Amino acid sequence: MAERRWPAHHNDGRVAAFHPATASLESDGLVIDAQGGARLALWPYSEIRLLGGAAGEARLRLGRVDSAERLTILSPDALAQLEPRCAKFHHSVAGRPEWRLIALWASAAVATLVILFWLGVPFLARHSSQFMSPRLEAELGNRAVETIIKLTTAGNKEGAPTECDAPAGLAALATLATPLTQRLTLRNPPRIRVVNSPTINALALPGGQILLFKGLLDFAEGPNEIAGVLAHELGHLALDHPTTLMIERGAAAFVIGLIAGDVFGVSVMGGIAATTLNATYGREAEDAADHRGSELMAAAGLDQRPMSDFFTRLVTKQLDGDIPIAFLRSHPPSEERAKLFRSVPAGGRSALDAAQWQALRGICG
Amino acid sequence: MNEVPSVAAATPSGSSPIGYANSAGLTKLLIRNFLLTLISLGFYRFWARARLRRYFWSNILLGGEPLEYTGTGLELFIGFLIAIAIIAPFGIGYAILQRIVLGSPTGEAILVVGYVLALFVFVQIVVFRARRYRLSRTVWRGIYAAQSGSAWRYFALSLLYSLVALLTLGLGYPWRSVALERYKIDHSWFGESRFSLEAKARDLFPRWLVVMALLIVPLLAMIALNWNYVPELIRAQAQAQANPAAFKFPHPVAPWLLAVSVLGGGPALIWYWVASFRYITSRTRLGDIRLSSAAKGSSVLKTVFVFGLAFLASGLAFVVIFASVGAMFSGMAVALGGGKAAGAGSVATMVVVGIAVFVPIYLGALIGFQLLTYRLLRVPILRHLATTIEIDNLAAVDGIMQSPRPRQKFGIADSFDIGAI
Repeated sequence: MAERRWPAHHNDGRVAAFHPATASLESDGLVIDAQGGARLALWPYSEIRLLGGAAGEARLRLGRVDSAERLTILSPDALAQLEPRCAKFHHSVAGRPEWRLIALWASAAVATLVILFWLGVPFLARHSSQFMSPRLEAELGNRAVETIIKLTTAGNKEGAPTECDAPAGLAALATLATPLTQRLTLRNPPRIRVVNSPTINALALPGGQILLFKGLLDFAEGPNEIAGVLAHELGHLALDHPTTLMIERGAAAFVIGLIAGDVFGVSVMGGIAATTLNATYGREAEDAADHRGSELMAAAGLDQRPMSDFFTRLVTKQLDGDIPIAFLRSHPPSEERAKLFRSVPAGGRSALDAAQWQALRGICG
Repeated sequence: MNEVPSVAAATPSGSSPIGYANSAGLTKLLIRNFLLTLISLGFYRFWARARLRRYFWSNILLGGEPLEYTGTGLELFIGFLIAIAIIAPFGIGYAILQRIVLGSPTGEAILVVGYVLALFVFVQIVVFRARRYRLSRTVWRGIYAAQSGSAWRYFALSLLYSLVALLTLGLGYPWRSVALERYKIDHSWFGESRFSLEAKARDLFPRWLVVMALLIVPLLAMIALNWNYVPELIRAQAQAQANPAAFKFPHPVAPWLLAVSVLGGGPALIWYWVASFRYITSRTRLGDIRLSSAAKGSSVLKTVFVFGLAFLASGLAFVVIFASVGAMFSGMAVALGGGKAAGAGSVATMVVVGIAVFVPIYLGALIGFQLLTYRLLRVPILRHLATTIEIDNLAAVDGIMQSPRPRQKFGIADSFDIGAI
C-alpha cells in the first residue's frame, strides 16, 4: 500500500509564513493538519491545481482554485497519487471569469467592429473624400498609379516601355474620350493612360486617373467597347468611388492589423486586407457606375450596343478559363450586364473612324 | 508563530536569496507558442503570453520559493476585446485623417505631432496599467502583490519630467526616471506591506553625464552642424528610399559623430541602465526588508555583445540561404517560362512554388530569431539581474498579511504589446 500521508508546508492565504503541516488523502479530499494535529484545511479534490514550479524539484506545489491558499508537499511521490484523484489537476488556479462577462465584451467588441466596418468606415470615407483637396487627392492617385504600373509591367521584356504613348494613338484616345469627359465636372480633370500590360483590365484611381491596359485594347473588337469601358470608369470617378475605397482600405488594414496582432507583421496583414478589398467596389457601386456610364454614352451620342457583345465575349472567355482574373473580380461579366446594354435604344455613332481605331490599337507600337 | 520554520530551513543553501531555476522547456514552449499563434491567425498570442509569463515567474526563486503568475490567456483576451471596443474607433479616425492630409506638408506635420502626443499619453497609461495587472497576478507564498496609484497621475508626472528633460537637452533625464520609478515603487504592495524608494537623481547624474557625452552630445552636434542642410537631408532621405546608395551626409564630420554615438553611446547607455537598476533596487525597501543589487554593467554588456555577434552571424546565414534558394528558384522560373512572357498557368505554378519555398524559410527565420533573443539575450540578462539581488532581513516577510483590496479584473492595457514579458 502506497504512502498516503506526507510532510508539507501550508500557506493559508492570509499571512506569508509557512505553516508546517501534514497532508493526507481522505475520501472527501486532501486534508491538511497542523503538526500539533489540529485541522488546517480540507481541499476537495476537484479544487486542487498543480502549480508549475521549477521542474526537477523534490517537492510538489499545489494551489486551490480561486483562492490564495497554497500547499507544498515535501515528497514527489504524492504526484502519482493525487493526479488520478484530481479531475482538474492541470487547469489554471485562477478559475474562470464569468462567461457572461466574456459574452458581454465579446459582443461589444464584435458590435464595434461591425458598426465600424459596415457603417462607420464607409460613411466616414464617403464624407472625408469630399474634404480632400484636389491636389492631395491627385498625389494619392499618383502614388497608387506608380505602384500599379510597376506591378503590372513586371513581366515585360527588359527595356520595354511601361506606358504606351504613340502620338497617333494618343490623338485617337483623346478623340474617343473628349465627348465623354467634357460632360463631367470632377475635382481633378480626368487623365487617361495606357499601360503596356497584357491584362484585360481598366481602373479608375483617385485624382481622376484612369488606366487602360493594352490587353483590353487587344480584346476589344471596336472603339465603342473601349468607350463603354471608359464611360464606366468615368462613372466610378463621378461617383467618387476610388477615393472612398482607398480611405476604407486604409482603415480596414489598420483594424485587421490590430486584431491579428503581429504574427506576420501588421504591414503584411494590411497588404492582404488591401488586396482583398481591392477586388470590388461592391455590386451596387458597379451597377451605379454602369448606369452613369450608360448615361454618358447616351449623352455623347455613342452606340452602346457593342457593350452587350463585349460582355458576352468576356463571359465566354471566362468559361474557357484563360483570362487573367483581375478584370473578372472588379468587373464581373455577366449575362445581366450584357442584357443591360442590349436593352438600350438602338442607334448612335461610332466613337472613332476605322483609321483612328487602328491608331488607338497601335498605341503601344 | 514559534512553530513557523525559519526561511533558511526552507531555502536551499546558497548565498543569494534570489535564484533563477532556468528549467528546461523554454525552447519547446517558444516553438509551441509560435506555431499555435500562427495557426490561429494571431488569436493564440494571449494564451502564449500567459504561458511564457508563468514559465518566467516560476523560474524566479525567492528564498527557494518560486514566484507564481496566476494570470490567464482568457483574461488577456477579454482585455483585448475591451480595448478593441474602445480603441478601434480612434485608430480608424486616424487612418482616415492620414489619407485626407496625405501629401500636404502642413497637414502631415500636424497629424504627426498629434499622433506622437496621443501615443505618448497612451504609452504612459498603458505602461502603468499593465504593470498593475501583472503585479495583481503575482503570488508568492500565497500572498498577492498589487499596485495602487492612478495612471493619469503617472502620466502627468511623466509629462512634467519629460518636458524638464527636453528643455535641459537631456540633462534632466535622471530626475525623470527617478520620479517615475518612485511613483511606481511607492505604489507597489506585497500583501498589506508597501514598497518604498529613497533615491536621489543626483546620485545617477555623473553616470548620465557619460551617456550625454557619448550619445546625446554627438547626436545634437550632428543636428546642429547640419542644421542648414535639414531640408536637403529630408530630400536626400526621400531619394535614399528609392536608391539607398545615393544617400550621403552633407557635412564631413557627421559620419564620425554618428560612429561615436553608436559605438560609444550604445554601450554607455546599457552601462547606465544597469547602474540605474542597481541603484534603484538598492534603495528599495519593503517595510523592514531591504533589497540590494550587485548587477554589473560589464556582465550585461558582454551578453549584449555575444548576442550581437550571434545575431549578425545567423543573419548572414539567413541571407546566404535566402539568396541561394532564390537563385535556384529564378533558374526554375526561367525554365518554366521558357524565356518568353509567362502564361497564366505557369505564373500560378510559380506563385505556389514560391510560397511553398519562401514562407517556411521566412517563418524559420522568425522563430530562430525569437529563440536567439530569449536564449542569448533575455534569459541571461534576467538571470544576472535576478541572482545579483540580495535581500536583507527576509525573515521579516513571515508576518506580512494578505490585503483585502479587490484585484483588477482584466489586463486591458496588457493587450498592447508594449514593454517586455
